[in-house]
Amino acid sequence: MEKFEVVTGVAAPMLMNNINTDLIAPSHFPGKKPEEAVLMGLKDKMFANLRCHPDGTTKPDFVLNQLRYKDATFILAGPNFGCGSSRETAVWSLREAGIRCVIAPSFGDIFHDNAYQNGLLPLKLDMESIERLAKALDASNASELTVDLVRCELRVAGHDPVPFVLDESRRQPLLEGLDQLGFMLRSEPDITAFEQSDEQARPWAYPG
Amino acid sequence: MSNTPFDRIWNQHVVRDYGDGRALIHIDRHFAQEGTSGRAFDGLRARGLPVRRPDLTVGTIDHGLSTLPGREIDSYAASTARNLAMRKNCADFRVRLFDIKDPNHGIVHVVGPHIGFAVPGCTYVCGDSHTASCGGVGAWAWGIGTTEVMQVFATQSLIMRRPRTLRATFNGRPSRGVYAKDMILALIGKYGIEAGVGHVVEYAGSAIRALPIEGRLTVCNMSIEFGARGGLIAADDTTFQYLHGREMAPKGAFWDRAVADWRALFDVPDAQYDTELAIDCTGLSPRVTWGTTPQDVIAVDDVVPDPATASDPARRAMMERAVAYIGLVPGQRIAGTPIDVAFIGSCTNGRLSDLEAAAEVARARKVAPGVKALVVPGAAHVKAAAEAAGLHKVFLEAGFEWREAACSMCVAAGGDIVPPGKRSMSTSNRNFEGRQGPGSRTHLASPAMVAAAAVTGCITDVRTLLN
Ligand code: SF4
Repeated sequence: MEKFEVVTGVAAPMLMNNINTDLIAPSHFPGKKPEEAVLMGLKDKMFANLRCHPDGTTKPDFVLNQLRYKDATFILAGPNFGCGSSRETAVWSLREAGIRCVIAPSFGDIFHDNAYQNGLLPLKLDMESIERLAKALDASNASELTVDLVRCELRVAGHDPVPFVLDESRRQPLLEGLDQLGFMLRSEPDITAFEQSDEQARPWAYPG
Repeated sequence: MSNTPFDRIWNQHVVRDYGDGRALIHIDRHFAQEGTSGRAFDGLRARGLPVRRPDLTVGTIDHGLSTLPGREIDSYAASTARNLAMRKNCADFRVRLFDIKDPNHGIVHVVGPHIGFAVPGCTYVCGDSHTASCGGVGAWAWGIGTTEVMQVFATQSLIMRRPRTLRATFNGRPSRGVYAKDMILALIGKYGIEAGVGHVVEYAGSAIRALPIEGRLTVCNMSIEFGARGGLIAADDTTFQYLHGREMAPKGAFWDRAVADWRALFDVPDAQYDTELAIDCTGLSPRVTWGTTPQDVIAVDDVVPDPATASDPARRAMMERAVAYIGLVPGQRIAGTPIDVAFIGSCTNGRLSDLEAAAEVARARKVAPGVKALVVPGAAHVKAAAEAAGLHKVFLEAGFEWREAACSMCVAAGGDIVPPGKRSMSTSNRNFEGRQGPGSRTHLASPAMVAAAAVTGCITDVRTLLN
């Protein structure tokens, strides 16, 4: 997994509530036949129904279609980002499009966990701070934001840093780029021991 | 607060406590589906790992299948590669696959309880957000991502953060024409789609106890639309009667021991929950959604709400966007809105009792001209039982299409799609923008309500059609 320490890039404002996983990574693509869609890269699938009209023509107003934001590294969003399905393609498509962090007041549970599994930081910040950040970025020339996971702060040139809090159990694996499965496999003896005693306690739970 | 049935299930499954609210949790049952397991199997291959407990793992192919009569695994070209990969993956890793001609084939959450793979008190996962359905038989069931699917394959465990507990109590007695779907939509409408975030929901109360298992599965199915990953209902005699003798349920002496354990597990009269919510089902009208989240729901005899009345500006913006997308006018009565498509199926409402409720409305009536109406059983066993009862004839005579089991129009899969701008009445669980196809407009409701819309050509209070 790619490490996340200090990342600087363009932040795109998408201050809508409930941006669900069907919006992030739809199962159908405007203007594409399903058999064409399977060949599309995940990054082109990202937000396809927000990017394009059903006939496949571009919606120029959509934030990521604008020149300023088309190579965004961060997304600022409203509450409940990533609600909906478990599809990890929502996270993968964001990652493949170069997004490293989504900043929102709250997240859908499964998306939130999937994000951490893939080095995408789902950063929780109150809506007021997000709106202030969006304003500062809008006023700046480059819309450039720095997400500093080492010092736990967000920086926009010419403004005071915005501190954030993140659980250490979330922060450390990102800083190290830790592979969670590798970590879990170290518990193999515990798992085996658990199963042996559990099979005594709940024999009905083991079909074999 | 650690004495709810959920807390007991959690405590029973801790392999290792990390001391910071997280634990390594053992997984009793893992049901893989083709859409979200491909990369997980590939990950095992890349690391040279086996599926650790093939005896606790099964698989199905449900999302990317054509539902046309006589369909084969490759009838829908866009999904063929993924379907064939599932076959190969299950064979390579010794996972029992319910292939498309298997009598146990079907939508993963419809099959799990039917075969007794889901049982009370077990931890149950699947790479699909509606896994909470299986909480209807008292399992702690939740949806996971593909990386987690790989982790369960490899270790039969997951690192979990202990969720908070929420009890949603449904009291009163719903009247005729009001179903489990209306009950759960009423809850989500009242409290919102974020109310359950971070919680496992326990559904309780007299109206829940009165539900047969299939209705309980419908209620738990939509836990995720409430923000909760898991939702469960205490197992009781209804549950035990349902599970007894099912193929993968405990047998003989193990069955008796299991029932004793389950009774003890759910016997917690003084349980304390972090959050308590309540719904009164007395006088509840059938529900139908008017917008683009399951929270955007009203009684069928109500009018489309006016966004201007919302005090929260963010909610107002969402409502404005939803009304514009769905193509309705605030203040208009929702009943009488013409529809183009009627879809009866999905893991929410694709079970036998759902088809029975729809058939009761469709019997001796005709699908309205210009409406495309589909009935897609949730699993092979549902289709077989419905045909044995002659329900398929009722639907076919009325002008519905009678299909093979799969996810179908719920997620615009397998070639079943709502065209742009068209209006669909659907028994599924998500009315999101684009969910049933780019530009599709979805209204969620119960199977009886969808059947009523199909035969009248517009959103209709089903109670006017029931005698
Ligand atoms: S029926 Fe719909 S919600 Fe259920 S598993 Fe299939 S796609 Fe998901």
